[in-house]
Amino acid sequence: MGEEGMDVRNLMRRAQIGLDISEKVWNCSTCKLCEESCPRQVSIVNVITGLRQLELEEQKAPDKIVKLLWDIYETGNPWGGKKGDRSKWADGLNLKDAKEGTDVILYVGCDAAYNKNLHKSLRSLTDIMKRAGVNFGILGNEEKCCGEPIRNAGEKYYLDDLVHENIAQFEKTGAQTVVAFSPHCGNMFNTVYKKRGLKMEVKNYSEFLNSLIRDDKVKIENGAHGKITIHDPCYVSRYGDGSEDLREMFTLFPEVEVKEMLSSGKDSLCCGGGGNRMFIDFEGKRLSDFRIEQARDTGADTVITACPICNMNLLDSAKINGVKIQVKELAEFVGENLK
Amino acid sequence: MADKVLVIGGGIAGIQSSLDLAEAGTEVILVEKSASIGGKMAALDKNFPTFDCSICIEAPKMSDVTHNKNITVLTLAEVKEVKGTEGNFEITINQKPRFVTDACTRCDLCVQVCPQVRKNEFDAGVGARKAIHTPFSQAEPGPYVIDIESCLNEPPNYLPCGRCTDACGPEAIDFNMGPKVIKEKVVSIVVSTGFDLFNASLLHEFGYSSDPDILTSYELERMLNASGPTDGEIIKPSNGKHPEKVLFVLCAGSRDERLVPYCSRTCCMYSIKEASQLVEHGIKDVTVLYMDIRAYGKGFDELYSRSQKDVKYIRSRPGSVKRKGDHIDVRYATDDGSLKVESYDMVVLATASIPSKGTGELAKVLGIELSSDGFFKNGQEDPVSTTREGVYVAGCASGPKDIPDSVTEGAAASSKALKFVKNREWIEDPPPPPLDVSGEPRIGVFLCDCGSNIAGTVNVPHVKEEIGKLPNVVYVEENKYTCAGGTQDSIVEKIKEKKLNRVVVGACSPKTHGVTFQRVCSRAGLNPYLFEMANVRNMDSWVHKSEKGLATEKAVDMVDMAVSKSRLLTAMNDIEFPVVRTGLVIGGGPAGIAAATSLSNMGIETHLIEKSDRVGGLLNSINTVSPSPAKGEEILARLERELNKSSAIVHTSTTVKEITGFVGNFSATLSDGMKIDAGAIIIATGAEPYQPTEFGYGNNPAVLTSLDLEKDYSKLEGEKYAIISCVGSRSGEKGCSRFCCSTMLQQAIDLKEKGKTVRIFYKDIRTYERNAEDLYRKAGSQGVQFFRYDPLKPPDQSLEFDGSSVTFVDELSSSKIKAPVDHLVLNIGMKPRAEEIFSQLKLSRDMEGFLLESHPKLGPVEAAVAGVFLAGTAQGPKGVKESMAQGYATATKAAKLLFRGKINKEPIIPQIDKEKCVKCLRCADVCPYSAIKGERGKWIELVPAACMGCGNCVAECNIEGAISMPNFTDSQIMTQIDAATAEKPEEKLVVFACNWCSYAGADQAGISKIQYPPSARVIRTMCSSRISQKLVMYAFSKNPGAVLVTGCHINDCHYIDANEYTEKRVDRWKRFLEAKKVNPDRLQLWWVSAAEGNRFASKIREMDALIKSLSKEEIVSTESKLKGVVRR
Repeated sequence: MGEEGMDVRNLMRRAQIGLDISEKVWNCSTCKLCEESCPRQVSIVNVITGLRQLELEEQKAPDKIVKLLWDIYETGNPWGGKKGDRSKWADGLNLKDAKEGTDVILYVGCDAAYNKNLHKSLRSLTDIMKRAGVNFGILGNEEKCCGEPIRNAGEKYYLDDLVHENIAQFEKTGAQTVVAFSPHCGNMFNTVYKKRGLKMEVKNYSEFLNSLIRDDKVKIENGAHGKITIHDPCYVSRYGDGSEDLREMFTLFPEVEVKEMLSSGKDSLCCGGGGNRMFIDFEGKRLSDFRIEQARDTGADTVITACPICNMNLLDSAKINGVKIQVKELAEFVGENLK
Repeated sequence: MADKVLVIGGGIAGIQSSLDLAEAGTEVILVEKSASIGGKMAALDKNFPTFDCSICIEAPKMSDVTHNKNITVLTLAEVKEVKGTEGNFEITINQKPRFVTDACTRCDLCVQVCPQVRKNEFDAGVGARKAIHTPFSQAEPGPYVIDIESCLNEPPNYLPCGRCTDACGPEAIDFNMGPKVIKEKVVSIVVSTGFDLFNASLLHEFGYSSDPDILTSYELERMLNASGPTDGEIIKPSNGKHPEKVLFVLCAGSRDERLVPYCSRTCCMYSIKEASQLVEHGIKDVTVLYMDIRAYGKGFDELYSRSQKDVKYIRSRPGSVKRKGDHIDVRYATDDGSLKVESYDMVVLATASIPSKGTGELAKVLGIELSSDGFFKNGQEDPVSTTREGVYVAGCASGPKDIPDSVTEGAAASSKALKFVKNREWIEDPPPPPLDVSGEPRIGVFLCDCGSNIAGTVNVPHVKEEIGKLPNVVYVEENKYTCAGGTQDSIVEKIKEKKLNRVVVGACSPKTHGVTFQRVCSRAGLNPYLFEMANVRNMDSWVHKSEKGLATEKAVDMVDMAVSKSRLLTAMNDIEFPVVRTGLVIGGGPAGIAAATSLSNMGIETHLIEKSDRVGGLLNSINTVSPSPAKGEEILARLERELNKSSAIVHTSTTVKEITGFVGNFSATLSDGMKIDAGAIIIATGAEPYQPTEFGYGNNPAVLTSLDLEKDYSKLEGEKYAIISCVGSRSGEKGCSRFCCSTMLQQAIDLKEKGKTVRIFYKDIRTYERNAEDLYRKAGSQGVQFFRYDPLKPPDQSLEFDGSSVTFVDELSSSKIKAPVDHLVLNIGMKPRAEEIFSQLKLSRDMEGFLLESHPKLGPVEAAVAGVFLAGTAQGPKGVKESMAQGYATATKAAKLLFRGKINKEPIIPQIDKEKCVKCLRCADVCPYSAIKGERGKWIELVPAACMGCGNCVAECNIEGAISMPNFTDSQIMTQIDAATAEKPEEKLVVFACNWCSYAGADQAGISKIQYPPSARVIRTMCSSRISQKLVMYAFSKNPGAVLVTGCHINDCHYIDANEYTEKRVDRWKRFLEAKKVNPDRLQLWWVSAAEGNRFASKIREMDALIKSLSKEEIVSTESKLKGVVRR
């Protein structure tokens, strides 16, 4: 995508008149910003997903996309990590297995499970949930990819199988709620899964966390100070309507100053990682580079986010561009400030 | 007693409706929610595409409403209950107290002491007002109003603040006023409640509420207005500095599924107008981002293309609008796919029009339905019906539209309302006994300060002193605002007290205020033709701001000129003619049927003439009447049914052979020999479909027109269709044909539903009409493919057709594409018809050849020729519903002329001295209206009703004293020349200006504050053709620096072609001057339209420079060179 952004009209027109789109159609990060300002309310992301399906069927998808599908098929995750390593982050935490019967399933997702930088945040979250007295469990090494990368790749049939399998697994636990660490997974559960019969309540962890605080289930030590800025993940703000969940709790910290970036909320700039872009190489300046500059321009010392993909990308961009700003998951921030 | 009609909403549609109804003898109850009538039009600076000053053309109508005894205006009022049925409604109106009585003189002293400051709603919150205020300076009715919500007092008991009461001399403030409940019985109701503007904050991506330099168009409009919150300065609200780079964003909220799905219909044009105005303000970098430019009306495309010289147009829509430092960054993608980030100083959003607040409640009260767009629903296939008989809708209450369409609907709704009116009356105060004006002139002079508009530049006390010295001037007075209600009353008193028999007002333009002061004279019993005006504001103080001394000298001259002329004025009475109470409608298409049905339903004998053997016109050959879902034959069947039910006399297979006569007294001879005498004529002769030659039409059976497609819909074979829009429209002189885009989309949808492949090639998609945007959306979602071709080129130069495929360049994908085609459909527009009766009636044509209306904004269905009205496509291309609206509107216009049974006319028509006249008939030969009849050498007769008063005949006559023009006599004009050249003539420029264009253009220079040298002395006549050799040579004999004759542009003359005579004469006089060794450059001719203030000012600058380049000797020798040729 890079600096020029993505020319949706051009892509649509090329598709309409049957010109080659294979170069462009994989650029979309499914951030949905275009749909926010589309006066005709075209479901652009759905169209693009449909086009990807055609590309895949015609065997024009990039190799890395094909590899990703095989990886999920073989290991249950798109990162190529081993099945047995999935719950490594939870070693020593003595978390319940959801199968034992819990109220809540904490669905970790592949991105956080296989990315060490995020393990701390996961542990923070489970710590908070424990302290709040939430009866929850995890699916451990039996947890499988939610299927979002498969959908983004345009593979319909395998997606169907996987979704049914996962729904059966979730429902067997008897839990009423599934909390997704990644809003990408949360969105899958809320849309695709529910369409296919999932009955459970689905929450992104930011929403869940905020409700714990709001309901006084966890006590906050309000001593934190400094300037923070908030990066709204697309799947929280635009797909999930959850920008408020990211902000509300900061009113509890009188010494924390929240600085908004040039674009925020439903207008927020994407980190560039959605839509399987994490698995494809792109040249030039990345969206997360722009975003980290916007964060830096606020003068904040920390950027808060609530999505493992955003987290990874912003961290990368901060490092590469030498921007001195901390990238922190909301869970981690809250975890650090518990009474 | 007359029957009453209720009109709800006092914007321009309601004003027009009220005036039409009142003039047709109905009593009107006009209910307005706010404190003044005028609506949105009063707040606009200028109108498109004419650049008319909006309030200047609306204020006279507003004043007509409040002065018409048949109209009761209830402001701050709302209709609360409606009982009964059509013909017999009982209504209840709640009126809030104004707290200020009619004793208010608008002196503004109360405002100065009021401590409560609020945002001024009229200025869209950009400016401020007090709790006691007037919404705007021309508000009607005149008294100020107290916004009790923000007043410190809580009447009736708690009155701690008495500042305004203390300040008010005439004791006009009354906190004891309470709310009123008013009950009325009316026979029908017209709803004209207008629209509101969409809240731009809801468009998050355009950042409206986040930044002061992101404005709405309405806010900019107020800023552009000279009497607006910034006095006409364009400034950035953030820092008060002038912007250098401005972006306009169209469709802010409109055509947007999330917000307002329909097209708001006016935004393209007012944005083009505002962008052009910014360029005039010196802002060089002005860009417009648009989706489609919907320049569908007369002259719209022309303004659009004219503006492209200075304004950049980019087809796009911003993705984000965000402040970055000093600028606002705007991201947008262009048609070639590149993404731009540009910085602007100011961004202007063309916000959507939405139903006015309270529309839903009013619908319940009236028992009528709303449409899904939130506006009132049309019950039938015409734009003024509602879902209830007896209740009609006009203007933006039934969806956004521009001023002429609203005005048309105002009259059209009246025609429906008039059906229930049985008893008529024209209420008038008995005139006061006429004053004796015999004896020496006793002139009273009233000098207006116009606040600081005049007094800020001109030393008015000095003018007063100088004018007081003139002979016959018995009284001079200086007023803050001479036109204020209180001052008007005091003028009446002064006329009586000082026994004045002439009145001169030194103020603003006679064009805007002449009638006001003539009425004041009448109220005192003084003949209104004994009044004269000096236009000190528009032609002096506003245009010589930095030359105060010279401006004061010029003011003295100007008032002296008026005083001099006033000495020679004579009392005159309007001429009254009887009217034949019969209407003649020519042309039996939808417009003609609507007109004839409506007129005869009002009880007027009406003849409808149709040349073919059945009525219906083009409706007989089309089925698609989109955006209406009804089919052509269904609409025609209903129209025919209504026509047959009415008592209209239909003459089919008949044409009109000849028409003679004039307003009130026309006589038509039909092809069957029958003669019909009629008082009014409605021309509904329609237009013709364009006959294409493009793309091999006629030679290749694969090429069809959109009209052909209407015929053989079902028989068509072939799978692939390409439709090409604007064939024969929108190129060269040909404008947009309005109806074709929605026809095209409906046909595309129909084809698509039959499983065909459809590709549309277009310039802009102009689905501006109600429900039309839905068709565009539907066509797109059904898979019709849209390709834009170069809007600057005709279609056959942008697209190649080889008989079986179309080749074109698609800019979006930057690729050359060849698309196979089984049928090529040419979407054709309309072309004008030429009928003999047009020239018999002296009807003017527009550039394209369609009939020209009397005023593009406020006179859309009237011809310039009195008694002739225009309906349907004869006036310009349009759809069936719009044609019907015009048909109904003309019925109203004809009815108000015919019901009255008589017409009055200004007595400005020439007088022939039959003793002196030699009956050479040169005057008759040049009369544009054939108003002079006679036989050479034998007899001559002027037909007063046919004469329009240009004075061309008088200028043509070279028999001294044989013909003269009252109010513009030779001696009156010469005495003005005398006064103008009394001092330092060699520095002066004598300017003759015509009432309609060049004088208005000079007014416009004032309104726009365009500065020019103070040497010009303007003498107004009705037409430049009144200026004769005698007058020009007389002027030169006074040794002025130069003489300038000005008038309307050729083809714009208000007297058809009279100015062409001026052109010939000026040529001749120049040769004459040369022969007399007078430098012919000292006489010049210059055309200036009413809008061209700049053109007027720059010519004065040029002439001033010419005068300065001449030696004094050369100038002062003129008189002697012309000795013997000058007559007095």
